[in-house]
Amino acid sequence: MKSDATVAGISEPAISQAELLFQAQQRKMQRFRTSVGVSWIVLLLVMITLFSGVKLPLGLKTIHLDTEFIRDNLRFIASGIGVTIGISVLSIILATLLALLAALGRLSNFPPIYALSTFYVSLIRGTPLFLQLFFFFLALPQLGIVLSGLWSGVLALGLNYGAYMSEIFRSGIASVGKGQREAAMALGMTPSQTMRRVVLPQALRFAIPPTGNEFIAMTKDSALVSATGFVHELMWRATKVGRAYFRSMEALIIAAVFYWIMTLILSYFQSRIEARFSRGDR
Amino acid sequence: MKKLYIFIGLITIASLLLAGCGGATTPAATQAPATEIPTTAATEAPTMTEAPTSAPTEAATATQAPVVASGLLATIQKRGYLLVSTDSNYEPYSIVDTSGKRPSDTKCPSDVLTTAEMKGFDVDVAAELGKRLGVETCLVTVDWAIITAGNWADKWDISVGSMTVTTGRQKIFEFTSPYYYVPAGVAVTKDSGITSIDQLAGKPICVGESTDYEAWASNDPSAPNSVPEDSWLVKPPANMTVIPQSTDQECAQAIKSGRKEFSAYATSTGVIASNITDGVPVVQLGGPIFLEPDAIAIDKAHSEDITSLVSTLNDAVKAMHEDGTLTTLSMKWFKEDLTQAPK
Repeated sequence: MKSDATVAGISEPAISQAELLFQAQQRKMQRFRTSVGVSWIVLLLVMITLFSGVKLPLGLKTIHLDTEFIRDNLRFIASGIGVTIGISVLSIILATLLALLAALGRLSNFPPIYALSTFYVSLIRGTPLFLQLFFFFLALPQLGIVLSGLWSGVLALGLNYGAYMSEIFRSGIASVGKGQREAAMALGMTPSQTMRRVVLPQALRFAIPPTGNEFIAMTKDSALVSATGFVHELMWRATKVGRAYFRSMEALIIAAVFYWIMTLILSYFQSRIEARFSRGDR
Repeated sequence: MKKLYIFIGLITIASLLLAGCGGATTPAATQAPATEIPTTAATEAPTMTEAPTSAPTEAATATQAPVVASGLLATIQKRGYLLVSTDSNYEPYSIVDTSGKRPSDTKCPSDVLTTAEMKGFDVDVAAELGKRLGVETCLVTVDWAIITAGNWADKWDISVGSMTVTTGRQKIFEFTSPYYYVPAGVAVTKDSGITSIDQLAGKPICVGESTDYEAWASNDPSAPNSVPEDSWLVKPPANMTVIPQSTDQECAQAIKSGRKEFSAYATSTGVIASNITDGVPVVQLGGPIFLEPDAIAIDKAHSEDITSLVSTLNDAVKAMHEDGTLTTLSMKWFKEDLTQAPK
């Protein structure tokens, strides 16, 4: 098909049908993303107005916040973010390791390992997180193992979330078709090679969204660690300052905003990792 | 894959630093993470730190009564600070003070608070006790449920948190003689129309769970959380619906936010007065319903011998009653003298 340019006598590369279609698709996606962005901003503005305390027409009410309190105590509360992030990241790493080991243990043919991983998952999922924290902080010393408040917390969180995440990994591994394993065996790969290079990469792809969920939940559960008294993270600071000045709502909103920002960052990384893992499918 | 491992390794190191540095609670400390690194390694270990070299002179001026320091008391004097647990939820007993600056020459480990960073009646009493023992007082803000469970695994020395002496607790704690008596009261919302305690019969009342207020409201003097029945000044109305919340502050917060499940709650009169100042629309209903004796608790399960510590603290409390220190502190925080024993 001749373009208008060639009719006028100017030489220009012809754009193919496929490319035009692709560009149209891109434009559509761009429009979609822009509309979503605009909607997000509108929703955010609605939330901010809801908490602004201004008088709206039509007799609508808004929530009034003590902004002076927020300004005075923002720094105190914000100084807990580092601890929260630190605890969360350490627990996440521990939880992922344990989840992977427990999931693989579940697939083992060696009875003690199978028993150990099922026992671990059952026991830890069946008991409250606070009890586990309590145990590591106050009961372990009776066995001679003394852990600080921080490390009892990291251990409790890591162990607890590891048990829940092991089920996610297990289902991810199970979702990889049997044909993959058979093909790997036919190629002469050892079981550990199969697991490492064929099964796990495919399993992890399915495991990432629920795992990302667990990580986000963990950043909030990290608040439990300050019950030991030796850790002063974000939620502890918010509740204590809120109680001190009877402004719990304002203090908790500050903490909520910080938790939301952390969640947004984690979600962003999650979508990046998801995109990378599904490269083969696009 | 190698890049991934390096990335994970860097994140682990970063989070170790973050978690360790974030232990200090003042803004000044957290602005300088670079200088915090040496102390992080030290405080990652169990909470006891090296003894300061000035220990001998402190021990000499320490005790007023000639008690031979042994066991835990000797350890405390050697290390130079007394580690006190306090429940930091209650104004005016114990609350964080965001305007306080942590002294740079403090002996307190970086993951506990100094008395400058907290304020309240309990905080002042703890600071005074430390002074009389010749050491610095450091505060650790452990969850109340963990403090009252006992078996502290030597993680801190004593609890100065307005802990009520109850029969159940006497099994696991050594209590000193009470340092004050907290009058308990009932608060009702202004618009409830209730003018006397008997009108609460059959009505819902909010209390902190597992407190002596809950035991009173449930008319259960044999509960392990109850104060002895003979210190009840007013009998609880019959058939009140007891609504327990995790702390009594939740009751006040619920009323302040306009919730209507209950219009009465029971707690100490000091907390009620504080709630009223902070704008909760309640009034106290009549006088105190009972007087609870609050004392310093020491864990019986401590691995070191606590006898000399308990007797020294008892002497200190007695001295503080006699020389008027406790009365002064009570007037400062409660505007009334609560330290007199009921006759």
